[in-house]
Amino acid sequence: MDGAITSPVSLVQRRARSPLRASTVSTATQGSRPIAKRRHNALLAIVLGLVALGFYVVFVVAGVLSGHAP
Amino acid sequence: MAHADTHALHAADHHDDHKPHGIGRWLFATNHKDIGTMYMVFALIMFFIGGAMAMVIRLELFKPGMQFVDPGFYNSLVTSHALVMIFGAVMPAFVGLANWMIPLQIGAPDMALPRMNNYSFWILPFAFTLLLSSFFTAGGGPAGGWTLYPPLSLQAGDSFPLTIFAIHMMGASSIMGAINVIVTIMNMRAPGMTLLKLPLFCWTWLITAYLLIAVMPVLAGAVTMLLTDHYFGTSFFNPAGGGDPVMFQHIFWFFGHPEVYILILPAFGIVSEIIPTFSRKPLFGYDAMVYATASIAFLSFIVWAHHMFTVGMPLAGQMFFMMSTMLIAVPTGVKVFNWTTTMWKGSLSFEPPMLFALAFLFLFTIGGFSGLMLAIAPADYQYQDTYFVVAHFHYVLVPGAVFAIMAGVYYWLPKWTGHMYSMTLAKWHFWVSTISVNVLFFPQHFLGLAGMPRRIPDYNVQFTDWNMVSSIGGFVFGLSQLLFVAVIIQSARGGPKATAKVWDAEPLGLEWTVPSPAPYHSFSDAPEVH
Repeated sequence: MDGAITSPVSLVQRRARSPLRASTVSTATQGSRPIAKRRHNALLAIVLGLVALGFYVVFVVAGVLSGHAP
Repeated sequence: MAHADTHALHAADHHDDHKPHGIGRWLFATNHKDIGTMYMVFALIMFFIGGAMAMVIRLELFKPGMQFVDPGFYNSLVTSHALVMIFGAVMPAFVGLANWMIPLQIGAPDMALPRMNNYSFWILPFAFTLLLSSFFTAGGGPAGGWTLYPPLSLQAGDSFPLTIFAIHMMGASSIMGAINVIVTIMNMRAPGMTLLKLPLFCWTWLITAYLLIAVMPVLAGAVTMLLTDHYFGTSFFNPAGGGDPVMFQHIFWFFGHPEVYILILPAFGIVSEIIPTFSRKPLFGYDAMVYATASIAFLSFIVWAHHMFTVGMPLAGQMFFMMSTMLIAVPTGVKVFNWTTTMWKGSLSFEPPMLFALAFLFLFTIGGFSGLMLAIAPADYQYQDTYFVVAHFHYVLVPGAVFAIMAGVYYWLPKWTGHMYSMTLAKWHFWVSTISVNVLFFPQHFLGLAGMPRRIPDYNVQFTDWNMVSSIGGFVFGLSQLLFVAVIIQSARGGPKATAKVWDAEPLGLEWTVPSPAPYHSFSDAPEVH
């Protein structure tokens, strides 16, 4: 970080030194992978989260529909 | 399975080793290596807390009569030991290994969702503080067993809501961890790394993550209904209000049996990494291993009622669940065959990771065989709720899952710390652990077949001898784990420098192309995989 860099380090790699930038780096430097991949990550995560929530709701609603709720 | 084109290998890595300092590095961690380390340390602490509970249990069972604890506290210890070991030790240890190794194995710079990774770890200390603090509430800790069967679990004191909320938090943590693993493996692989080039550890974790997403919400639904039965006047599981307690058992085991595979599939992955390395041969039947893992995961959803044969069910139901359970032996047999065949005519060496992997192979198989015995419905009427069941699942989980975790730690520790550890000390740990774990659990088969029930603090005098032997094995096994801690601390503090390859073998994975210790930021440029 002090300018004494002896080999080419890209801007993205410099940003990589901050751990909070890791998610940015992880998508931006994936070789031929487009930066839009980050949006794919979020989309897939949301879909999987909704699937998990769906399983939860299905089981509780099935319990309620069985007629044992108040 | 992947060969990396490592020209100009990580020329800039020494620039990528700047770490944040202080407590903030850990509180706000988004680096997969830091979060992996936190998971592993947390799992180790929980392993010792759960282990201390087990030592008190074995102390009480050393001879007949009540010695040290009252029966209510004993029940709390049995319940909490299970919850701590399953959700606090084994699962977080596997998530820690996944955090450390999956990005390194697929050539990704980090997990796909680093902030969510932070949240999923930091939920855990709060969840277990909640669970363990319930010991200090009126009525003591949860005492109805980890299966939480109503109506027994509904008779708990103030520990009940704390346990339920703790389980919800553990579930949320697991689901977020699973989402992160799936997204990372599906979206972040290095160019050229197709799914059938994934290392087996990644494959088994990918399938495990899908299992987690499918079944953790089911457990959450079940315990939510328990909570509303207790506090909000519903009668989901209360016959007095038209409910059915057996329904809880069906829902619980629909979660519980896949959970067993959540605890063992990543272990299969670790062993599938280690055996080829120390056999100096590629894994035999890679594709078959992948399909076998997927088959085991599928079958885990259609076998749950084998835990409930004695509850009563139609003969056709018993036949179905008996046969489907036995079917699991087929893909599991494929795996054992492939590990054995990988070693066939290999140039074997027996470093600590290989020793633990071999012990896993033999001892997990013993647990598998006793599982087949339990799957036989008419025989299960004899074994149900005896110490035979305790022996069975401890063989699967201790020399099975826990030994695989230890094998993985010994395999990758030099990559994490940059230092080799004392082979002598690690081999002492292996031999003392392996001998004592058998002294601990093998006699429990005899006790169970002779009719000793599980979950009791006192027993008939005829069971004394084998209980004494088992307890002595337990004390030695517990104390021998201090050697494990000594090896880890020694490696973290210094020792001979580890090379990038670490082992004198021909490992194939990308993780061996980065220096040891792995730089704080690795694979900033994606490697080429052929």
